[in-house]
Amino acid sequence: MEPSQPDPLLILQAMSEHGVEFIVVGGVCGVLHGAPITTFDLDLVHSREPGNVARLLAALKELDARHRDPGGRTIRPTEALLLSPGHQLLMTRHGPLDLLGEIGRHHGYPELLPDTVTVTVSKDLRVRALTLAALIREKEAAARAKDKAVLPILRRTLEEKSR
Amino acid sequence: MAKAKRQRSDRAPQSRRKRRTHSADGVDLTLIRWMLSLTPGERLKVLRNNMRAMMRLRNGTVAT
Repeated sequence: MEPSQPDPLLILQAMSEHGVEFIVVGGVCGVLHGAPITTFDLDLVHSREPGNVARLLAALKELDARHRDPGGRTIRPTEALLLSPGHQLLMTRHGPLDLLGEIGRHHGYPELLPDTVTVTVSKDLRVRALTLAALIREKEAAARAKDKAVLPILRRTLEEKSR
Repeated sequence: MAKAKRQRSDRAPQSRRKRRTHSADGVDLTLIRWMLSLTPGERLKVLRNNMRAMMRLRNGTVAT
């Protein structure tokens, strides 16, 4: 499935409308904080509390979410997978969505919560995102090539914000 | 007057140093300042437009 028009805003809107508790991490988090970077997927760490996973499944149904399966099969996300600490790489009607049970060193929703801020995206949409400093720490810890590549921009963005 | 002119010209180089365009590690600071001038919602719309533009390029739908 190819999204006709990728739109992370609409994915966030759907999550919010269903009352899903999540934290925006990854490249979109950097963009929310003002980093001039481009990414193609929306990375969210979701609360794995069973009630939240039920709301998340309802949002994913509305978004027509399915796993990005190399074999082209249609595999829908399941409650069991969303309760796990693993990473679910999904495609939705509004573009790629990665749902992450944990990031870094076993950092799930409750562990990350103290390092988040609420970002007002529009008058109807407020989302919780990692602080820029915490995002930098997570990417430093991950130390993958793709994380290292954006670190200079994230660090300079943090500096410029501090001026 | 001459003193005031000298003070202004003395300040100018310092001001320019503060507003450099690139960091020592090559990051374009003008882009960061531009993004910081936008609201979070506007920043997401910039990202969305970039995503769509790249998809159009990849799919070969940009008029030449």
